[in-house]
This record gives sequence, C-alpha cells and structure tokens, in this order.
Amino acid sequence: MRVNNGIDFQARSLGGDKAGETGTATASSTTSLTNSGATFPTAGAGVNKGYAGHVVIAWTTGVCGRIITNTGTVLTIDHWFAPATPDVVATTPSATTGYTITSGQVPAWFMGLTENSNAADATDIMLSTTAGGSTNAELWVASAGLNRALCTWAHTAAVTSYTLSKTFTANANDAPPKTPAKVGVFAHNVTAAPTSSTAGTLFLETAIGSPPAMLAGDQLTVTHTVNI
Amino acid sequence: MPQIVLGNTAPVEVSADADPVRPKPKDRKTVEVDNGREDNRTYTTFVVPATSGLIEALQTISSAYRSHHSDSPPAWVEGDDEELTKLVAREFTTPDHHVVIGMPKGWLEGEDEDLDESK
Repeated sequence: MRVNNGIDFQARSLGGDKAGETGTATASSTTSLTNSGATFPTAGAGVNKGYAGHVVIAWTTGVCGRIITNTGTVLTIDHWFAPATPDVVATTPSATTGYTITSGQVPAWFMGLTENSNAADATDIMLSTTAGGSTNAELWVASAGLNRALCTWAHTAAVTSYTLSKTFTANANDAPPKTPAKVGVFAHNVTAAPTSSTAGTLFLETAIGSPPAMLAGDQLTVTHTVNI
Repeated sequence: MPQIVLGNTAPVEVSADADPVRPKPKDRKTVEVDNGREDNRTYTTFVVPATSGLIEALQTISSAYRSHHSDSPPAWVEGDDEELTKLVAREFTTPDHHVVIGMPKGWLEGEDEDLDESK
C-alpha cells in the first residue's frame, strides 16, 4: 500500500516541489546543518513541510544529507553520506561549508521490517505498533541483519513499474527468532532504532504472507513492486 | 553502484499490493511492450548497492528477475562489474539456454535472427 505520506512524497518527487537554494553554514553536526542567517521555508506539515525529503550537499567534501525536517535556520538530516554509498555514514562536513539544497525529493529506496502484523494503514507514518501510531515497531539492533537497508532497484524498459529488492540475512544480533510480517519502504535511512522524529518518510507498506521465523543465518529476499 | 542489464524477452509485472516474498500467480501478469514490433523484447536494468556483497547481489538479481520481471531466462547480460556480470550469466545458463555477455548488435531492433541461445 502506498500510504498517504507516500502519495505526497511521490508528488513532490516527480513534480519537483520547491526549488532549492545555496548558502554558507554556521554550524554542523552528524545530523544537522545550521545557517543562522537563513530563512528556510517552514510552511506545511509533516512530509509536506519545508524542505522535508530534499537533499543538502556540502561543498567542502561533497557529502550529502537527506533532510527529515527543518526550521528557518536548521536542517535536520538522517546522516551524511557520499553520493556513491547512500547507506554509509560519512564524515560531518565543516561548520562553515557552503551548501546546496536541491529541488525534488531523495530516492525512496530503503527497506525496513517489522514483526507487527497489523494491516497496512493509509495514515501510517512509520512501522509502528498501531495504525497511524508513533511507537516504533521496526526491527533495529546495532549490527543486526534485519535492519533497514538500501535496496537493489530494477526496472524493465517500457513497463509501468519498478521493483525494490533486498536480501536480508538474520544474524545473532537480531536476537532470533524474528518473524518479519510487514515491510516498509522509506526515503530516509536510520542509524539507530527509529523514532517518530528519525524514521523519515514512509512511502509504501505491505504485509508478508505466511511470515517466516528467521534464525541466525536465514535469508529472506523481499521484492516490492512500485507502480509508476 | 554496479549496474546489470538483462535482455528480457518475456516481461511480466507483479501487482504492487502482492506479497513481496511469495507473490501469488494471480498477482503476476504478462506485459505487452509497445516496441513497434511483433516480438515482446525489452531489457531489465538492476542497480545494486555498492555495499552489497557479490553473492547477495547475485541472489537478489536472480530472485527478483525470476519472480517479478520475466517469464523466461535472459537472452543476454551486460554490466559494469565484470565479475558480477559473469556470475549472472552463469546463474541463468542451462544446458538448453546459453546467456551471452553483451547486448547482441541489432537486438533491440529485432535484427538478430541468428542469435543462437542454445550455444
């Protein structure tokens, strides 16, 4: 199911949403970039607010960040990454780096799992314990194999869909057995158990039929079709 | 991020709401590609995360191509990662079907009448 946030995300992504801007930062951290003199847009709500879902590129090292939310002067991102490895945390750029914020949205190509078997709901904003809830139910443990991960993208030319696939391999850190019952596709990555502030944009959510109980070493290949 | 392209002669599509692990047959349909010819040939592009290991990349491509993209093994494969390209070709090659490496000249135009997939 493409959830409501996913519909809005897709519209902003394909349509372009607001144009970006350039500037010079006054502070930086592992999950933020600040320009104390900026007037970043803040109108709207949730995934439709300000620069949510846009990319910020730091000029000094070329690293990028996926914006989750912003105030008038602070961009909050999931983490810094090099363009070639969107799933790997990169070094924080200097506090005074120049930056570019691009138009449109980031790719939604991260996949997460949950044992929660509630039906997917259009109002869901994350993989939570209840419909539309903000209590995290997404599997995430440091160095575990069932954590949210970057997918393989595939598209057959002239066909009106594409797929996102990930082969998950459970390991001892997952505290198996684990029984993934639902999959979520996100625009943002996480570096710790997701919260309502860090989960990022949920695009799609689909139940896994007859969920398998996974032990350490077990593999599960998940392939999600996305209509264009 | 390595890219692998597969020559697809029998494209299929799986419903977006299908089980993402074991889609049911009713959720899978043949796709008629509008390529201006009688045949139905097209190609499927995979882009694999740079952080995926070789084996995981192969498993993911093999599974997703068979379950979500085609009803027949690819006619050919090409890619920018030589080792992964060779592994994918070997994965889909059987005694009755040889997967060639590289898109045959004229393949997209339907001019490769002599492509012998049994070699």
